[in-house]
Amino acid sequence: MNKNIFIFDQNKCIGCHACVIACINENGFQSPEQWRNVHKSQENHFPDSPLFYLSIACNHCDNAPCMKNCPTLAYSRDEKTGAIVHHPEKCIGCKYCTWACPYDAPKYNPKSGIVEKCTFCNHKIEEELKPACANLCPVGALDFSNTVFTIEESKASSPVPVEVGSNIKINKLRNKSGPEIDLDIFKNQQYDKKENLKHEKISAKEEWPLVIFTLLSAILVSLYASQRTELFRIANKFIYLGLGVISALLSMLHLGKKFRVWRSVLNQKNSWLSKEILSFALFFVGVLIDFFLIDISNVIIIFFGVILLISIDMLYSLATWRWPIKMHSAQTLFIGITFYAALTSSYLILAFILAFRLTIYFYKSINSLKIIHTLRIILPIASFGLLLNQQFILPLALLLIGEIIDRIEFYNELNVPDPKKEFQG
Amino acid sequence: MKKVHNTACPRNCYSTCSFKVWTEDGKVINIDPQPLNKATPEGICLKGLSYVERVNSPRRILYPLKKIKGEFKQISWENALNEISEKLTYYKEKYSPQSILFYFASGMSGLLNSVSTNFWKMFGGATTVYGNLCWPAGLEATRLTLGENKHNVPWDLENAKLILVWGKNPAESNIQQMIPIEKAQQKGAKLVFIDPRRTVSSERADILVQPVPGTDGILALALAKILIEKNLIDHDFINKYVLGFDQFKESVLKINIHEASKECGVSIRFINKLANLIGTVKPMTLIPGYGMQRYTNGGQTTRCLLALSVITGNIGKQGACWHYADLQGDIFSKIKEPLSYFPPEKPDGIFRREIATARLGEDMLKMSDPELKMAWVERGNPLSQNPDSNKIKEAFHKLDFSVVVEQFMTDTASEADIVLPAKTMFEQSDIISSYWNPYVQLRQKVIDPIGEVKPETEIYFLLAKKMGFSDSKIAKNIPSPSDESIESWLIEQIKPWPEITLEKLKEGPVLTPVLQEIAFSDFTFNTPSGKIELYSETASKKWEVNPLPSYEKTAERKDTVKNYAFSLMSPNTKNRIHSQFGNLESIKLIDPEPFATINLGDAEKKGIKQDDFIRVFNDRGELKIKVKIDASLRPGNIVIVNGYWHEEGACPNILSKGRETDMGHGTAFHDNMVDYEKIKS
Repeated sequence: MNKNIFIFDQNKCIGCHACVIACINENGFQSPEQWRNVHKSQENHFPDSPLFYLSIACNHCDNAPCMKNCPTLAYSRDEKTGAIVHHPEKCIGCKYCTWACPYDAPKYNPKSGIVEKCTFCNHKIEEELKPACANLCPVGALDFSNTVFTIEESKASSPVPVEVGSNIKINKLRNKSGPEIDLDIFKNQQYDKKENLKHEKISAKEEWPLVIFTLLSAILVSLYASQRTELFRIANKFIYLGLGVISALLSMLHLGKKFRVWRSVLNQKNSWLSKEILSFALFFVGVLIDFFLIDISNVIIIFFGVILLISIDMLYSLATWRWPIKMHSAQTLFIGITFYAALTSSYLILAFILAFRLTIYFYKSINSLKIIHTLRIILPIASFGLLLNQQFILPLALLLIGEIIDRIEFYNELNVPDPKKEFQG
Repeated sequence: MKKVHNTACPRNCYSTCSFKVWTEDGKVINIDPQPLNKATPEGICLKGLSYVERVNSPRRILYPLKKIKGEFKQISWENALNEISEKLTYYKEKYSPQSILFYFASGMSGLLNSVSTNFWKMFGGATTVYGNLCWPAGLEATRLTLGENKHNVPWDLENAKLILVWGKNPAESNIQQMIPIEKAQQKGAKLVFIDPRRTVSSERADILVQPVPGTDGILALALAKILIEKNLIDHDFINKYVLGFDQFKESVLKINIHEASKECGVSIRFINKLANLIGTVKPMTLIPGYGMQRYTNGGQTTRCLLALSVITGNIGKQGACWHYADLQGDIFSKIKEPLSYFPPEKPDGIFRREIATARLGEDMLKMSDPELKMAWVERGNPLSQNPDSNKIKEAFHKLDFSVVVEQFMTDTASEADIVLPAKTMFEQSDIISSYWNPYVQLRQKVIDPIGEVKPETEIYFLLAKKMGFSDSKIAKNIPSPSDESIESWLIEQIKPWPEITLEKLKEGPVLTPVLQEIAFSDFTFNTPSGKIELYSETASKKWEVNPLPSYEKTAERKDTVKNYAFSLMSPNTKNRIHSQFGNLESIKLIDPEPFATINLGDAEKKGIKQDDFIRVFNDRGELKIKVKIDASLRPGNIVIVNGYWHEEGACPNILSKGRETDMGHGTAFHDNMVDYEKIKS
């Protein structure tokens, strides 16, 4: 079956950016980010390696991660043209698709508060015309075709090693070593081949509200669950619910369109973000009813809480693609279990979960041990010891400090596929 | 309603792309490719695409402006023309018409530009300039050797087996040339670049040779020596068509390869490698750029390079040519370039042509009897584009009055007393040709001028009326402003060529009627001897240079007193045509701020890091600019692309000297040694 695809030839592209201007002429001015990007294979232009380009926008993937992960169902596929279409009126600007897309196609626009992206020039394809960028490449490096394109071809061409059925065919570079030059001319310069790639899309510094939101969620769920054992009581229900409200507000802080937040529960089928938001809502509604109205089954509420923590953990799974094991000691479910065990003095469970988490932690940071790591290992052990000594507040505080450090590290370790990095790496 | 029109780009650029432009309700809204042009079938470059912004830009000058107490205020055309005509009359009567400088450059090509000259002739004359900023040294070198400037059609390049690109970066300055280069490579051609920089163009090359700037002549002569010694030359071709080979041979055999290698900074190993390719792979197309002839030795350098094509017989054949400039499309000029640049042997008493373009500032200041009192500038931005900006600024400040016709508030427009709004290419029809592709094209009017913009022809028409010239005199010199009148004027120009009609031109590009697809395939050379002249009497008589291709150090490298250690290269960037386009928002997305490129090793020595600011200086001036490091730029060079405005703080001409090339009255502003240092923050 024929499909609409981009065809890009690395031997022809000269990085001129005409495709970017062509897109602007067709689809309007794009700032601060442009829908189409032209990536350079290296920034410093080292004499012994070639310089070439990658012009990339949206590849209108068969299994589009943006569409799958969007909590508000703001994406759809135009079955006629294959274009993945973004519907601005449905977008809440949560930016989750900008993490999900391996090609960096969706661009968050802080001015409009929503995401924008390449439309495949759907309106042109419908008239059997090429997208503007492909139509106007002055050297014929970027083209468009309606042709047979198998999943194997798609995988082989993908600029990022993922299998999402991207619809771009890339003719790879012929001369992979660059021109033969007299390297003696450059023998006096020292250089470190590692390019300094500064920007990671996700960092704790940028996402601090989410660091607090996820930690609070884990702790609030564990606090509530701990009441089951009768060993623990939530003393002030208002403070508890207040923290829940703060948590909810923090999670909304980064949204471009806060008034459309209700849309975020619409994609229960595919989006873990949707599941997270719904289970968060159900958990707290349950807690509210339980606290002030009627006594309902704790099990159901705890169930929602557990679903909430699993959803939180799962929604980050798309940012763990380069991790050797797809698990982190600071996953909210682990944090929740740890606090539950500590609060309910379940020493066996606590010993087990702490040992498990430390193993993961140690495994991950074995190659880069720093003081913070030692601290992260000492804190829970000390906390465990103090708990055994019948102390309560101090060990919980130590535990919390450890969790904050771990959760911050978790965010800093997250990385989503980035075409520029892949191209330069 | 949406409408599509055929047109062509009139910028001073090799490609001269054909393209289609969409309009809706009198507004330019989009651009499409025009596949009928075999040289630019895929479409226009990013600058061409940015016309959509350029023509509609809110920063365009749309009304006459007058500087009042240092600030520009909108005035009516009536007032503007009244004031200008009063000034013109005053200076003419008090000092003579030649107290007025009429300056234009290459901002917009078209046959109607001659109307401007007609006006000034009718006015009684003016002072104008001779020479040219761009390419005359190479044109003259080629004319002296081959008799005229033409080359094979651009698409013949794919037939070459060896493509030798010398000092040109087509991926930025002639984007569509990369198409036949890629096709030739697919067919197995060898691609060799010679350039101190390592550009995007040369990334795909088999070999890149990086000589010291300005020493290309000695490299070429060394190659010629090896070719002759190894007998890798075309004796048959030489015997039939070449004058002066024996003298040339005698002269190059004296060259010491070791000294030559040291002078140009290319190792003997690479010189041999290169000679071997040139001598054994045929056909070869040699593509010299224009940058390397903007040195004091530019003309002779070009002759040295051309000698390589000549002695290997790579002229007049499929896939083999000297690809410098193709003026076959220019069927309209009575005197072709470069001859049209030369000052007249006998002054006509109307135009005083005594100012060299290359020394604009210096020569303007020198003018006496009469001194210059006023300047009229159109299609140009000399304050940023001519060498030695400080001198030019001084000369403009000395004037009583100046008028600049411009689309945007450029460095030059900012200096004017009155700025008149200039048309864009979409607001008046005209006919253009190219110096790379062999087409004659119609640049169509597709919208009415925006705001109160008037094409220059209309400005002159109204000014002539205002100054009281008789209707019959005006009619003889200037077409009236109506579209019909402009069309009949254009029809008049193409009348000698029945193959070209306005109707055909409206359909798309038309091949020049005098086209020789493979230039010189008749082996007729319009030189005094009728042969290819390696030995040129004319060269030595007219320009006082060696009658043979020869090498001499560039002026600033000879200067051991000043001893600035770095060559400032100021090549073109794909993001601008000279000083045009850089001010547009869409171009700024891609190229947001000026930067200088320096070599990594040089940077390390001077303690400079990526994105640091440096001060670049010499005796003539200085500028402050951000740094980008390129580990593949030959050490000892610094690159600041030409076209940055003074307003941006980075115009390289603040550092360049007004100096002519050795022949052709070109401008040697690439002969520019500087030093730089880190600015301590």
